[in-house]
Amino acid sequence: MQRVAELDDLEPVDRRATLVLGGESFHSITESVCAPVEWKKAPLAWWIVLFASASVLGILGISVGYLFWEGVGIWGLAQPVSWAWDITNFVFWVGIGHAGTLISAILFLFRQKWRTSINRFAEAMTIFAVMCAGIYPAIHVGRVWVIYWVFPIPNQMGAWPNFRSPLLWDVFAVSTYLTVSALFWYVGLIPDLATLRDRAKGVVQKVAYGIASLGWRGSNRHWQHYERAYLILAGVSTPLVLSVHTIVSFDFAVSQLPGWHTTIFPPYFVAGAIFSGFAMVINLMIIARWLFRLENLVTMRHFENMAKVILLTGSIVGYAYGMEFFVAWYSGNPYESFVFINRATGPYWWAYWTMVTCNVVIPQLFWFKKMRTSLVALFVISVFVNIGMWFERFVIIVTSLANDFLPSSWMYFKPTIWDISTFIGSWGLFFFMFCLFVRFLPMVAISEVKGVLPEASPHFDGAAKKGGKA
Amino acid sequence: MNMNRSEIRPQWQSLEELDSIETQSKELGLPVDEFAPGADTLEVRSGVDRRNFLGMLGASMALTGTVATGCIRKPDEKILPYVKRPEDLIPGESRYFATSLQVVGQVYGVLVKSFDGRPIKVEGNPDHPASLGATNHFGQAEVLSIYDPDRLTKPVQDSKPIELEAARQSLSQLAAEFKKTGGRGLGILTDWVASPSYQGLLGKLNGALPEARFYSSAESRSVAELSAMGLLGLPNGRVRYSLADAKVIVALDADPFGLEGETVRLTREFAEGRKLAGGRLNMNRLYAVESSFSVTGSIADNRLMVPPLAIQEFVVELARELDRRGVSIGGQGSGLAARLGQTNIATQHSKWIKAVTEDLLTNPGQSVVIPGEKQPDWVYALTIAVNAALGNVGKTVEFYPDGSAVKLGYSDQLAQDIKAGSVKSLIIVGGNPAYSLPGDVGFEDLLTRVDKSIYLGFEANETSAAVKFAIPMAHGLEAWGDTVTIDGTVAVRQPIIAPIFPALSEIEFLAVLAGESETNGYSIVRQNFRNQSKSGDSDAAWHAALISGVAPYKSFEKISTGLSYAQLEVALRKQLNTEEASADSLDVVFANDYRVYDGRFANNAWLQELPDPLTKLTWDNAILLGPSTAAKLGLKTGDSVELNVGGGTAKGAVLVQPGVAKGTAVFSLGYGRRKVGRVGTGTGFDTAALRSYRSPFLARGGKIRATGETYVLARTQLHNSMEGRPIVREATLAAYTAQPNFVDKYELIAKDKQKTLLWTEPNVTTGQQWGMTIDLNSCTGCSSCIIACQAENNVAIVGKKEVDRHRYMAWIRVDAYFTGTADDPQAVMQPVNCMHCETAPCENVCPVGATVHSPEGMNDMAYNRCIGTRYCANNCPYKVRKFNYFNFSKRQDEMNPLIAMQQNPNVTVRFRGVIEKCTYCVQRVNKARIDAKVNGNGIIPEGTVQTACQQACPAGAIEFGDINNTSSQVAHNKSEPRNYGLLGELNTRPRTTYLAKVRNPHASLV
Repeated sequence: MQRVAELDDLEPVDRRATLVLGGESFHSITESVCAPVEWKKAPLAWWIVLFASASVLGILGISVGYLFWEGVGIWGLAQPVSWAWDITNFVFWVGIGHAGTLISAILFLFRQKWRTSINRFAEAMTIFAVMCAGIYPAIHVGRVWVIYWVFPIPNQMGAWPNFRSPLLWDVFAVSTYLTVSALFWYVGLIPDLATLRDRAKGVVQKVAYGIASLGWRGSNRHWQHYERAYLILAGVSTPLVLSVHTIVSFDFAVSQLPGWHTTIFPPYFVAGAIFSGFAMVINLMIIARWLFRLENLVTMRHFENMAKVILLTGSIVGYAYGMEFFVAWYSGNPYESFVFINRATGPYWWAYWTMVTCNVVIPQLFWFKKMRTSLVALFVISVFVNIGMWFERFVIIVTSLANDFLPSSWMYFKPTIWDISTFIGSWGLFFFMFCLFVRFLPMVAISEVKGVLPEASPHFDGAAKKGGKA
Repeated sequence: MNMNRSEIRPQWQSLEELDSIETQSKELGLPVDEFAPGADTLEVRSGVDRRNFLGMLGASMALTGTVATGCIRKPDEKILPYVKRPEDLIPGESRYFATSLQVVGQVYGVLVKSFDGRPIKVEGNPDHPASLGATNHFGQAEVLSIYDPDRLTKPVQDSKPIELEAARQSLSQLAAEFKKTGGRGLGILTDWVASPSYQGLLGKLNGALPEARFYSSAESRSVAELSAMGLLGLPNGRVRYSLADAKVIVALDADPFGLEGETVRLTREFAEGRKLAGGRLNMNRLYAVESSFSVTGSIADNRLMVPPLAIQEFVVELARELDRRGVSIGGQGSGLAARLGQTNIATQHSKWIKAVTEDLLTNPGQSVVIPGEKQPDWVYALTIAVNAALGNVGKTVEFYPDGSAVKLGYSDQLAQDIKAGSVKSLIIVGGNPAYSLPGDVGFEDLLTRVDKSIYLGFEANETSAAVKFAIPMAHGLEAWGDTVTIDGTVAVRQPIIAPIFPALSEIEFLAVLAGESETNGYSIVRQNFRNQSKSGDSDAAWHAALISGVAPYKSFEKISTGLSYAQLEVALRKQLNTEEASADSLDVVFANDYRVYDGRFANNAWLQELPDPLTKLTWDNAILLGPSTAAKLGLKTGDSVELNVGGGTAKGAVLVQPGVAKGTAVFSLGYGRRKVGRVGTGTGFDTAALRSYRSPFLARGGKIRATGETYVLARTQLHNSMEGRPIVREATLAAYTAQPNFVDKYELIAKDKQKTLLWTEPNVTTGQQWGMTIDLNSCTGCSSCIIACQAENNVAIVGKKEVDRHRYMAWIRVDAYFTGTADDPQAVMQPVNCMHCETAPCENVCPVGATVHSPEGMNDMAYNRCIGTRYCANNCPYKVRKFNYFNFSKRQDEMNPLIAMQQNPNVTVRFRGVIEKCTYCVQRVNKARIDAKVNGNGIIPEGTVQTACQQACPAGAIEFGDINNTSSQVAHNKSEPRNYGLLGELNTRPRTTYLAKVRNPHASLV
């Protein structure tokens, strides 16, 4: 008996703890993941959330519309703070968009099977976050109607973008990342879309999922191609996870502004991005898991693993903060040391210490297993992490600009109502997309999760498993 | 622009030519107006007929789904070719006319750039002795004043607008009426007008109406000077200071480089005495004694900050000390100074008094003590007496008659006369007495007591609203006239444009009033020229005077008679008030504002938005308090307060400013206008209620009370410490002598280590390479360059709210930093424009390549390529890149529909969403290049291109030219040891470099 009980908790072959709990079977997984997609009538709660997020999205629409009508002057930007909330929001959202690809690509390459339950969700988050991020650089320019000039489009004027500009690198980095992330996500979706197609009752669903699943029949040949494509895309995505935020950090590091011009930025930004991305995944996952009863698929082990990643990257970020100070002092550059002392003690001290508290101090609670396994603690700490990460970008961008080389141009930045509404509005877009996602797409990778069930093992002994759902 | 003599001077303007546009328009049956072509079709028509509706419907359908940009209907434009082309006129080419202007009390010769008949830029006339090629900020802004839409546009009689011709007839009827009684009961209040024709007509008016009384509103002329000269036995005398040979200059509350006297000439003379080019090691020394920072105080070698009354004590003590050292004030053996009692300041600042005395004694005849115009007459007179005793008269100080034909009474007499009923009709010529006179004169009340009130004024203001008959006055650029400087140099004022709104010039007005047969301005001026010209009149001489801008004769010669001191002695005995102010009350100093003066420029947006040189405040005045005074009163910048002085109360806002003496509050005049145009409405606070006629510039016993509210003061610079950074590099003359290359000591990275470049070295050795130097030793911070740049480059006004949001657009700014201690601050000024860095940080970060380097080393902006990421602005360490956050130009056009007429057609008007910045006046360089290609080998000769800021600079601090040409002035400057690049350690290699500041303080006062 004892031996059987042991088998219940551990993988039969590699003797590791099972990833899916509650004795879920192939069928029950399909059922539970497909349930929201196959709702006859969406529950009222879904409609409320959809309506609420659509309203917030409307705020974004109004804000952007007014912005286009009047000009970027509606924001609090000025000389010398020519970037503030716009680019803060951009970096914030791009950062959040890091966890998805990291989970799906890097963890995939490292054979971290626990990723299967959360990768779909995280990838969706990535894509929506990058969509939110992409809004800002596009709308923050003064003449939005000629934004396409940043692309190298041959034209009769012979005008060409300036390839020395980090902003141009950004254009390529972010658009490549969005494209590859979307492709990767879509390829991973194909078998599940086929499942939905097969189960679909309505004509519309049949046709839509039929087209989207690209004729997937689950043959061996399909699986072989699929696995290879997925592996290749994972390989392509992996460097992108590192490159996007590296290049975003170049926007700052390549300039010569004290507080921006530092070589530590690429690793520091990537760590910060993963940090905030995982925090966001935890937040969303806790909600979705509870709403859609996915406790057996998304287990405490997942949360604990993610908390560990947050602890690690949070500590890297903390180290970077300290190192920035050290280098500022060690460089002997008076502008550099001023900027850092000014961040901590100057007019924006409150932003700096909010950042340090949220990003460095609070995540240290994850040293305790209790914290890593308490949903409440996980949720609250993750919220703090994202507040802290927003402030990190704000501190980097605004404090450096506001007090730069010549004291004559110093100022104190104040946001306007439109800065705030444009930021809040992007949450509307994010959640609106999520609402559609949970309603129309499988939020957990069905085929992949099935692959980590004991049943998927060639050595699986069906008779030994007891209490499983048939 | 290209200031080639032959090119700018050959034309002169006749009335006929002026009228040509009007005539042509009439011939073509078009309405005569000066509005932009197409302006009429922009009117919104009421109602839409069926045809238009269907048309629009169709168009909208066609546009459905497309972006609606570029679908704005452009107004129809008609091309109006000249039927008869005026001689020498090449369409698209600007022409320059020499004329002269009186701005405030200052007269200077100007060259006005006229484009298609519109004056668009004012430059100083190098041949005119009072301008020497430059102007001050007021002069630069005059070209905007003429396009003020809130001028008096029509005569108004008994609240009804009437035509100018009717007004003229009505005026001559009134004149005839006055003549019947010989002018009995008539008062004539006039501002100071330095014009021989005007003064001549005033004399004729006096002759025609012998019973009329004349009063001075004293808005443009120092009362202290006038009255002081009376005390010294030279009534109607004027003092002319000359700094060319002055080695020691003592400014006692005086601002000769800012607002008082012939600032343009004085600044030039002063700066020339400080130029350290070519290893020169001697320079003049400026002492300033003042109670708050003036432009003059900011550049002083030694500045003494004392409360306002202590300045009087200082003068007394200086006289006593000189007397003790054997310099007899008030004539040999008069003992005048010895009889003055000792003052408190003698012990407090004995070191200072000794140092000043010593310097004055070692430089007899080469020193000058300049009294301030805010000082009482006896202080002014005593100071002049000191100058006389030091042997400065005839050298650095000269006396001239003021050329006035009529003795003017003061406005308090006017008030008495009106109240007594002896003045029943009042004629006001110029000025705005209803606003500018102190509150206790009660001018608006006086106007209700007279039967007839006639006003000739430029703008619709408090006075025009209060009088019964207001007539628009032509601007100086619109009507014939003449001017005379203090030293008697006459210049003809020729019109550049016909009056934009129907108007009379001041001389025409006087001629009508005097019942003259000749009332045409041109004829009056021409006649006056004929009468005064001693070398015989001829058309050739007249034309030569118009071309050169200076008449070949002087209106008067200097006074050579000596001073008499009897009256001064009497005045001195009763005046000195050494009473200490009580601890909790303030001495309130009222000063003409640096930007709007006494309020007359309140509707000039350039001046409103010009940051005050020291406080950097725009669009408002404030109550300036020193840091210690403010701390004691518990007030901080932006606090709304009520200031109570002698029963009067005024609202205000506090601005804490270093350099204001303890217990002193400074409140500038000219704001809080009750009736003013759209620009000046709602700006600042009125001081009238606090001021008294007896002591218009100082009130004692001020009580200040915080209202608990705050007031937004929009300033362009909030941080005035250099934070120990090598921004403005400065040394004393002694240190400079010992170490001529002291600037290198400031470098954060040794100069020889600042060489590595990631990319290929920029080519700086072929062709013409443009560069600039700014001599911080000469710069007074006067800010003429800012307005000049604004006028030349169509830099938009953004308004108070946007200035407060740090969106001030000026391409050249003047940074003010304070050094020293709070009790003894010194100021340094640094003009900052685009540095045109060799390795410009802005260039490589622009994603679309909208800012690029020209082969001649300029950092160019392609506005049309700019998409507005503002990355360049972030990466510019000098923060000289300005962004059009809104469509500021359009806003400006909506605010002032006439402003388009001023704008320079050779400079793009920037649209919303693009970055703009200093271009080194590339349009001027290109114009010069075209000329050089047409007339020569294509190489622009040295000295033919001046940037707008350089040209306007009274101090000659800005030099621009080809740095590749080793004989150019700018190349010479760059090889000076004082030359340094701002933030050079960043390896930006700025093309604009600075010549470090050298102060020459007295050894005992360092």
